Amino acid sequence: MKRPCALLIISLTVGVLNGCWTSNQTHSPANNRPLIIGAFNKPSVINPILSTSGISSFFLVDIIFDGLIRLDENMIARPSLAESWEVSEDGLVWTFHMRHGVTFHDGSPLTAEDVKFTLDLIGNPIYTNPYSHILSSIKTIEVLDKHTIEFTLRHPFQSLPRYLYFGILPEQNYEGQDLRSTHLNRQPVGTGPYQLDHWVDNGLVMKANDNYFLGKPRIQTILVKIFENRKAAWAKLISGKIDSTLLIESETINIIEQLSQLKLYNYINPYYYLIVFNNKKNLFREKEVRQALNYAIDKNWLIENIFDGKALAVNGLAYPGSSFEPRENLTYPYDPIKALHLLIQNGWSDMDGDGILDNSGQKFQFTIHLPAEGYYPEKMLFFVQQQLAELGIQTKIKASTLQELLTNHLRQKQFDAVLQDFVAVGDPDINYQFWSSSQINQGFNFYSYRNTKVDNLLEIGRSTLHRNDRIKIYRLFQREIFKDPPGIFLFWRYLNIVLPKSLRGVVIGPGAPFISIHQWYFEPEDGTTL
Amino acid sequence: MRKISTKLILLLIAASLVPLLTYGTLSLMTSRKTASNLASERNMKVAQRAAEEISLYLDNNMRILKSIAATISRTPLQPRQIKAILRNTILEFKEYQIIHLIDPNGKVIVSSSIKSNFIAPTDESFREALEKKIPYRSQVFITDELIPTISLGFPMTKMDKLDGMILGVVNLLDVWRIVSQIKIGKHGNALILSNTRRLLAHGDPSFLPIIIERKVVDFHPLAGDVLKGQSVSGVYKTNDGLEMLSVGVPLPRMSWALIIDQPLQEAFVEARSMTRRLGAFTVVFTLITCLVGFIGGRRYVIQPINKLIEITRAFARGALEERVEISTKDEFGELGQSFNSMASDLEKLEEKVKRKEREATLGLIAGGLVHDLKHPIKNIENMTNLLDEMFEKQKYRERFKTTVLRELATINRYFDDLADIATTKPIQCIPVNLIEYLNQCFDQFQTAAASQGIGLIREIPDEALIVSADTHALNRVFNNIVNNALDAMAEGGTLKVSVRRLSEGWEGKPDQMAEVAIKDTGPGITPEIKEKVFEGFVSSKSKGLGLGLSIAKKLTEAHGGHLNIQSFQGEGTTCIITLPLLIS
Repeated sequence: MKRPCALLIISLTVGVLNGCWTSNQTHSPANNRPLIIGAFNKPSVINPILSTSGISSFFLVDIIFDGLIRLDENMIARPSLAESWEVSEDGLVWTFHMRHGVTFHDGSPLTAEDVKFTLDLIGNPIYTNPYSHILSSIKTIEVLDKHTIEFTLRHPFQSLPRYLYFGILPEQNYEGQDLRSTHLNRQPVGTGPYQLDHWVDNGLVMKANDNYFLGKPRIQTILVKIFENRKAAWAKLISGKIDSTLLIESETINIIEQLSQLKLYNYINPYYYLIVFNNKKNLFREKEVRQALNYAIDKNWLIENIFDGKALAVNGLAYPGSSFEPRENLTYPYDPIKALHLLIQNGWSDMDGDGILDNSGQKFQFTIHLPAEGYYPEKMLFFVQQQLAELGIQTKIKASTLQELLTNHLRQKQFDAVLQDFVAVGDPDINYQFWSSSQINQGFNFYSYRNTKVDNLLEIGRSTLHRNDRIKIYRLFQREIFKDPPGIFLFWRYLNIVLPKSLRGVVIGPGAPFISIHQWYFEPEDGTTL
Repeated sequence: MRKISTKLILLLIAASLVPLLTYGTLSLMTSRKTASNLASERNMKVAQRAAEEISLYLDNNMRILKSIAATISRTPLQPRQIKAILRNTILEFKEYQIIHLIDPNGKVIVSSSIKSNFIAPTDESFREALEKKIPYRSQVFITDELIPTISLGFPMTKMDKLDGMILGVVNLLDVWRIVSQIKIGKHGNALILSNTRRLLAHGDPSFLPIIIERKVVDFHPLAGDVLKGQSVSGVYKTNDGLEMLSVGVPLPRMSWALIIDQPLQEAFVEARSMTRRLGAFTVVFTLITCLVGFIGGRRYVIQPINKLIEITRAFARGALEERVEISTKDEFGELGQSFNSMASDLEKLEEKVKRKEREATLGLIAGGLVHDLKHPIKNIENMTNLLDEMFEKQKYRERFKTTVLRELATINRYFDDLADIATTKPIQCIPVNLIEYLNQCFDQFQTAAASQGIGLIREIPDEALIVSADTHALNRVFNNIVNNALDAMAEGGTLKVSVRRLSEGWEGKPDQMAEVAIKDTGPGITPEIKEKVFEGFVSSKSKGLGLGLSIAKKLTEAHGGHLNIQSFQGEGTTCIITLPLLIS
């Protein structure tokens, strides 16, 4: 039921719209042309709970639905459908007050019942979705009145609001439907700034929601055109037939940058790359050995040569620039001599002269698994492999599908190491599910990572109320996990979004790319801005 | 003189102007044609260079595959080891994306990639490459990430039998880069067409969609000939009716065509500007000719004569170092040279005299040094002679130490003097009671004076006159003056030292000053010597450096004071030192 990788992808859906509460500015009469967006795959399911990939999760559910909260550019929970909330002194009872007068696209009013309905769907085990873990913390959900809902928790969970960004579905429409097969996945009904108008042969037409609670969107129509492959969409983008393909891979950036009609927006994708070890295995039992492997990789070379400088070495697990980011430099420098030293100290040396380190009969060889769907430059892995080989560590690389990786390897704990990206959206409490030893048997800690200090800090962080205290705690946590690394810390990567240069009012931030879409407008042809 | 030069200038101008104007007119008439040929030729050169660069790039990549093929066929390797070689190559060469090892049947056996299920190319030319054991070059393919790639293959043979092929997928971003860097004028662009008439690269990014969609393009009339292997140039009309000056060269071994298009309009812009430039050049050259004629006439005729006149006048004034600078090799030059050699002879003579003078000065310094150093050295010698007998006595040892140190200090001071004449040491001032100081000072001179039969009269008042002074420096000032005075009275006499306060300002300065006058009854000095007495190396004495007064003056001035000399022959000399009072 729980799928971390899916979670990673889905978190892109983050209903995150932030910031700009003011909406009552005068609308531009000029240049009311549609925004045309190219997609590479057909959005088969447009559903805030089930959409996990492609344009529907990255874009469509973002603009069709709203969550109780939205995450701002610092990934702090801000009011959205919920106007305010409060928590009881013991931290167990949360009351959310909903905005009045919000209506769904079909005109029916939004009520607290819809929120409860949506949460019930999330908790339904037949719908695999990345939000269900929230419900493990919630004991009861009670609708107090039309606009008030109360959650009673099993244990204090300070960062609860930050997880409530998923879109709210109208009970009236979705009730009694099988979420996996309902026709509403092609005719979604939400409260967001845009609503699906109709499908056409090669795409869909989105119309502005004139009753949007943050104000009527300035661009009337958004057309989503679907192309056979990325290449075809890009050809149309370059020739100006479409306005945007949204995401752009870094290899393509240099080309896009030459084109005067387009503008690139980039930010650090809130996912960090890690080659995580199966800490249960003998090979990785010693902390010093895991440290050695961190010292062995020249991350700067990788960043310069493989990522064209468009990546950032992981320093701490909090999003770069966020308040939880550690103040000191935790990154392991490239120091192969130190690595060798640590390995020798722990009994690893090449006694039989075959070029591979051995330790009382065991050879230092392991397999790095990775999801075939993931977007990893192969050269990065070859380089890691080469650098480890230089120390006398032999590795194999094995790509398998995400599903295979999860069911056959991660859940069974049948693997040596796995290359994975980890989400850093929202609160650092998210680390609990990955690195707390309480999550080894029933959670996402597939890596059997066990460190008592880390456990304690994660536990304390959960129940601490004051923000400054939490910052201190999570900084300590990061220092500790870097000292006792669960794997090889690699990078953050940049995400690039391409939009027409003439588009104004665009605010794009991490995890919240379409935050201001209702305020986007095209600069009038004569070039005057309003 | 003027008349000669004027005539000369006119002659020069006339002689150069006529052919220049003729050349200019002719050139203007042919320039248009030349310019367009030039544009075409230049574009051709650029195209050839770019074509070479691109071929070299592809050849180099092929060479990499060749060396892998050699390594693999030379040594028996396990697939794992081959994989490592392929991966290392990929890491080392940025442009390589994937490398496969393919068996003679065209099946992928080992691949650098993590992914599996690769299928070798199936096109005709690949089969042909395998059959004939020749290198393989695929069509260009654009990946989903918009990266242009080509597959290159190099055959492996064992005993002349095909053993397989190393096939590499190379990205051609560098080729795109080379092409986009070729910019001629504002709108001149390069492009590459494949033998299947697909656009592979274009300097104008707006052609990217055509490249990506790999449509067959038929817009270039030159393509046919170039793809047949000829370098051609010509003019054609595009679909928009724009006339293009176009050149094309084939890329060796690739059966691609590299073409450079430049709008004719723009190519002729250069022709027109060239015409204009030529016209301007003619005018400018005419002006330059006139100018050169004028300047040349002045320089080669009038100036040499003027110079000779000037130098002759300077010689008359005695400036023997002056020389005539006439570098020409004409008669003026000869005249100048003989003049100069005459001047040199004269100057050598003058130099001899000066050298003699200098030698005399050196003798003076040496003599002075020998004399002055004798005394301290003698003192040291004396004390040393007593060493054996008196070593046991405490008092002697103390005397020995003080004497030797003192005399060494004196010697040192001499050296300092020599150095000081050029530069003044920084002095370190402390408040000094001048009266007390002078009393002590002249106590020391008492014995020396007495031994020469010289009486010492002190007119030193009993009040305190405080000056800011470096006592070491003052010692030297008074030593020098008193020694001079004593020397001047070899036959005996009286040395009078008198001190007074100058309550009125001195030389208009309001500060109060102390004045010390030291008067001897020696023969006095002549006015000529008096004039130079502060310059150094001047002395009326037969011994000594003659630096004394010079140093004394410098040091006094460093204290903010003055040193003056009054002297009348037969009446002795008076040195007057004034020093500013610290407390008035």
